[in-house]
Formats: sequence, C-alpha cells, structure tokens
Amino acid sequence: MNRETAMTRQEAMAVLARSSLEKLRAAWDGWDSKPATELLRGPETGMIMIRGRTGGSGAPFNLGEASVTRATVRLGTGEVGFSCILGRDTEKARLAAIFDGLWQRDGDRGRIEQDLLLPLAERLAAADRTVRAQTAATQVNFFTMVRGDDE
Amino acid sequence: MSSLSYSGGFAEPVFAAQAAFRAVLDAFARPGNVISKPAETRPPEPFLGVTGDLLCTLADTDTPVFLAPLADEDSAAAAWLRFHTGAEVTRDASRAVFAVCTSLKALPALSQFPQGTAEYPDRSTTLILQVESLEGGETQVLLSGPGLAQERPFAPKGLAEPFWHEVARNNGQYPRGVDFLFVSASAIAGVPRSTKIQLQGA
Amino acid sequence: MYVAVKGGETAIRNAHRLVADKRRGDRSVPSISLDQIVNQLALAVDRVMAEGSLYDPELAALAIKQARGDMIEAIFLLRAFRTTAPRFGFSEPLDTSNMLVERRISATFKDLPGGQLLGPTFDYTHRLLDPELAGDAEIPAPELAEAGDGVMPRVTDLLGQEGLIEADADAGEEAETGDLTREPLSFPADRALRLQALARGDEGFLLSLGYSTQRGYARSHPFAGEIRLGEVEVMVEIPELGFTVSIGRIEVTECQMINQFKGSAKVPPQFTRGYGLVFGHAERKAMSMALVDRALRWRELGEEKTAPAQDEEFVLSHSDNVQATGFVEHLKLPHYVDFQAELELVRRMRAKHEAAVRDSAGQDESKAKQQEAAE
Repeated sequence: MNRETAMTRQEAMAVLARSSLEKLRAAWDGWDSKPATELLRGPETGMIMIRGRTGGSGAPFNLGEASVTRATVRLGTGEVGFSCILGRDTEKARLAAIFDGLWQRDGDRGRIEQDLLLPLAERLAAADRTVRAQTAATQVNFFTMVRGDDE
Repeated sequence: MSSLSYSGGFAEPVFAAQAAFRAVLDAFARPGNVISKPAETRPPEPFLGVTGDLLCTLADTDTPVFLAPLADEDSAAAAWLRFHTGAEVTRDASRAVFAVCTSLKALPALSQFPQGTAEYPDRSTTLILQVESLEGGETQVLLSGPGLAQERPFAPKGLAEPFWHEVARNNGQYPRGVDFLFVSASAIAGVPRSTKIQLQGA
Repeated sequence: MYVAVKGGETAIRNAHRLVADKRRGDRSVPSISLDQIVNQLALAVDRVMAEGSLYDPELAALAIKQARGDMIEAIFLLRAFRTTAPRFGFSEPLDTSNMLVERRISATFKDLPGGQLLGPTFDYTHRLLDPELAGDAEIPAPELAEAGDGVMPRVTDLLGQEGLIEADADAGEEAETGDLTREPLSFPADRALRLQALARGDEGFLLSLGYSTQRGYARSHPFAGEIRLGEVEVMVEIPELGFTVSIGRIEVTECQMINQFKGSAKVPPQFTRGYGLVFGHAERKAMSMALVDRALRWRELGEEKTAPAQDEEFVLSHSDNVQATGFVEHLKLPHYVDFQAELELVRRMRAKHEAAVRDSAGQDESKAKQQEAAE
C-alpha cells in the first residue's frame, strides 16, 4: 500500500497538536506492530513567548507567554519524531511525537492519514464551521428607515 | 541534521544539572581549586563531555554561545547545542553570554566579549576554556583574592604567559570583565574576575 | 539596621490551615472544579491569563480557586509559576487578519466587508439581574446561519488604501524585540516594550487612564475602528526541523483605535492609531490599552505632553498590579525596628519642641516683667 500523501508534515503536526489525548491514545493502543520508541528529549513543559505585531501588521512585540510541551522520540526504525504543542499534557506530546515519527515512514503514512489525521482534521474543521455559523447568526443586517418626510 | 545531535544529553536532567551547577558554584567560590566533575553528556567534537555538562546546565534560549574556533550553524556542535539547550550559536563575540574555546589560538581578544556595565556587571561573558589538564602546565600563576585564604598556585596545561597577562588585565577592571571556567575531561576550575593574578617570576 | 525576629511559626501554620478551611467553605456545598471555572467563569480566567502573562486556562482556573476569587492574588500566583518554567523560544508574530472570528465590530464603518458580527457580547443586554441563572435552567443552543466567505479585511487596511491613516511602523526584520521580562525597563521605552507592558498591565488602571484621555487629559478623539475576538494559530519555528509548525490556537481580542489627528510639524493631518491586543476575551482591556498606547505616542507624533496617560514612566511603572500589590502590601510586614527609630525621633523632636515653647514663653514672661519694671 503506497497511497499518495494527503498532507504535508507541517499539516500533520498541526492536526496532532490540536487533537485530544484520548484520540491519540486510542490510535496508539490500536496500532499493531508498534516500533520501539526512545525518548531523546522530554516530554517537557515550558513556555513559548507569543508575539504580536504593532497595529496588527507592524513591528513585532512580546504579548505574553503560553504553556507548551514538547517531545522528541526516536523510533526503533530510526525516524526521529517531534512534537511541540500548547498546554501541559506530556503524554499527548509523547504520542504526537511518535505519530510524527511514524508519518515519516512511507509504509505507514497513508494509514496514519486515513485512519487518524484526516478524520481528526475533519472534526476540527466541522467545529470551526459551527463557530462560523453561530457567529454569522449574530451579523447585523442594517436597514434604513426614512424619517421626517418633508416633501 | 544528523541523528547524532539528538543523543548524548543529560539522562537525568534535573539531578545532573544540579550537580553541574554545584560544581560551577564551588569552582567560582574557590578560584583555582580543581573540582572533580565526571562527564554526563556525550557531545560531538570538539566539545569535551564536561563542557557539554556545563552548557546543558547554564545555556538556554536567552544565552547566545560563541564558539572559538568559529562554527557554522549546521555544524554538529552547533546542532547539538541547539537541540539540548535551545541556545543559538553566534559568530559575533559581542553578543556572547557564554563562549567555548576549544583552541586557544582561535580565541579573540577578551575585550571583544561583553564586559558588563557599571550598572549591570553581570551582563558579561563567561568563558569556558577546554584544556588538556588542569594541573602540570609549564606556566604557573598565583591566585589571590576573595575565596582564597592564601595564595594558590594554578597551572593548567597549554596556557602561556601572554594569556595570563590578558586575564590579569581583564581582572584589573573588576567589577567589570569576563569570568573563566577551565575544563578538562574530568574536572573544572574557575577564575572569576575578582581574582588577582600574579605571574610566577614576574 | 535589620534585626532578625523569629517566632510566629505556629500562628502562621494555623492561619494557613484556617484560610484553607475558609476557601473550602461549607462542606455540604460541592467543591468547585477547574472545568467549571474554565467554562463558566471564562472571562475571569482570561483576565488572569492576560495579566499573569501566561496563556494556560487550567492553571489560571487553579489560581482563581486557590486565591478564593481574588483576581490580583490569582494573577500573582500565575506570575510566580511563570518564573519557574523554562522558555523554549518565541512564536512567529500572530496573524490577527487570519482569525477564526467570533466577534467583529466597527464603530466607524457600517457596511464593512465581512459584516458587523456581534458574537457573544454583553452589549445590548438590559443589565438586569436574571433570577433564572440562580438555578440551572436549560439553555437553548445558539442559532446558526450561513457564514460568508470568512474574508474580513481590517478596517485600518481599508482606510490605508486611501492613505488617510498612518501605516504600521515596521521595525525591520533584524531589529531586536525588547522583552521587559528579561531586561529591566528603562526610559524612554520603545513602542514594542510599551505594548508588552500594557498587555500585562492592570485592567482597572488602564481603564481609568483610557477614560482620563476621553475626559480631556491628553484628548485624542478616538473611534473604535475595529474590535475583533477569535482564535489565532500560534506558529513556532522548530530550529531542529528548519520549518515552522502550528502548535495550536489561542483566543485573543484585538482593538484598533482610530484617532483624529490635526497634524504637527512632523506628521501631516491624517488618522493615527492606537493598538490593543490581549489574551482571551477582554474587550474593555483591549480598548483601554489602545487608548493608552495612542496617548503614549505623543513624542513620535509631535504632540504636547500634558497628562498622566502620556507619561510613560508614570504609566509603565504603575501599570503592573503584581508590582503594585507587592509594594502596597509589604506595608503589612513587621516594621518594628523602623518604627521604633521613628518613635524615638518623634519623641526627641517633641521634647525639643516643648522645650522651645517653654523657653520662648519664659522669655516672653521675663520681657513682660522687664517692661513692667520700666514703666
């Protein structure tokens, strides 16, 4: 099986970062022929300084920090997987790094995308659509009333 | 980036960093005292294991590290440092918070490094100098000052008179100036800027 | 001179135990969960994250619970935690034009592309207490409507096309972005440092200062050009990988204040801008920040400095509520020795004063006697 890649690595990592621990754990528990994994760094929790831009598009400034957890894992087959995600969930960071490593294997990429990443991406997109629809319902529709008819 | 850069960090980061920090404190508190420090990390050439320990303990994203001789960003040493500490390798000595010297010939004049200011003397570089051994060198200096009840002889290998003249000049500008950590394969010694350097026979 | 005083350990231990008991309160009432705080006191959580300067809803909720709802204490707790966490690096600057918008309004253009989206707002509510909320009444799901294409240009970009509003100043990609958490503030501070200080500043203090500019202290004729609230992607460059990845999303509020400006020797007549950007849903804070940001720009725009909101040393040195509460509350700590010294001094001065009064009274008496004798 050598399906075409549906996502870039960045896209895959972005989906992994926003998925829930439960989804990742279920996917990993159900994964047959798990490769050995060796933690090279972390999972460790720290902070990223978040920057904004003056006026929205000008010079950068430091807005404030956010909790971040990251992990680096080497698979038994040699791939090195990374994760860096908002929050303090070390187990989620470890699993996200493992899946990033697995995604790099031609033999596993198609399966990870079809079984895990694309369904997750669709759920996230659906949640965004709901927010947009809820927000759209609060859009103001102006209509003009003619007053003080002097003609 | 080679997979080598990912390995060789602290196995137990908290305890290993605490032990290394203690060694640095002792080294600066008792200048010239040779403090045994087994290497925990396995960094790539040209770093010694103990140098790796000190960098993993002291360096982070806020501390640009200068390497002498200069190293490229994609060198194994720079990649290892970035992965394990988050520190950026700078080619600009005037931005260095730490400097690692693995070959004395390549060390720029000490005055090229930040010397600290009168208001913030802490804003200066800490130099980590790798030497073959911390004892038995041809040139011996006498150290005195804070932390030393009496003069202490100090003779790391490979450091000749001109170097010690420069250190003496540096230490003459106390409270400004850089600080020195000398590193061998299994020990460290410190010479802070507060120490007085006297050349033997001078 | 400092004299170390020991004692009070038991009193302190028992006081801590007592505050833990008061925090929990009546044991027959269920303990409040962090999930409940995150979900149902979301704006309190947002304020603690913004002023605690750490985006982490669970920790902010914990801080609120631990502080018994004292917001400044909760902010203090989060700041204290912040100092123990290592910093891995910096994000790419947030792209607020690419936001999953939950609210977006403009007070300057009625018909702007993308529309006026009220979102979850208290505006237009009657501000009457709702007794139903005392219970747990069923809440209907929100209405849905077909969303547009999602394109929502910034109002300032629309005005920018006509050249009637100042452009965002670009510092150049190589310029270092100052960080007041690493280097102590010195004055004058550049705009990036001022914005960082304002973003973590006390909402009440900034609100009052912003209000003062509206009441004529550094009048700057503001219009709320645009306020938007929503989620933005946080992008971080991973040095080991050599590319940028999304690490998730955070919610922010952005305010673009547009200010009338008659022009000065330095700058032609045009609209100028004040900017506010805050973690979470924090509209009042974002607006106040934008007003104060604009007032602080007097030097750059060639205006006259006449009011407290323009004085950056005054504003930035007093906007941080953790610093402020630390200094005000330290007055509770024992000052016994200081006070003994003061007491001694006042006693001596008092004695001197009384002696002087006695002396001059004595002199007056003797003068009077002399006079009497002369007559």
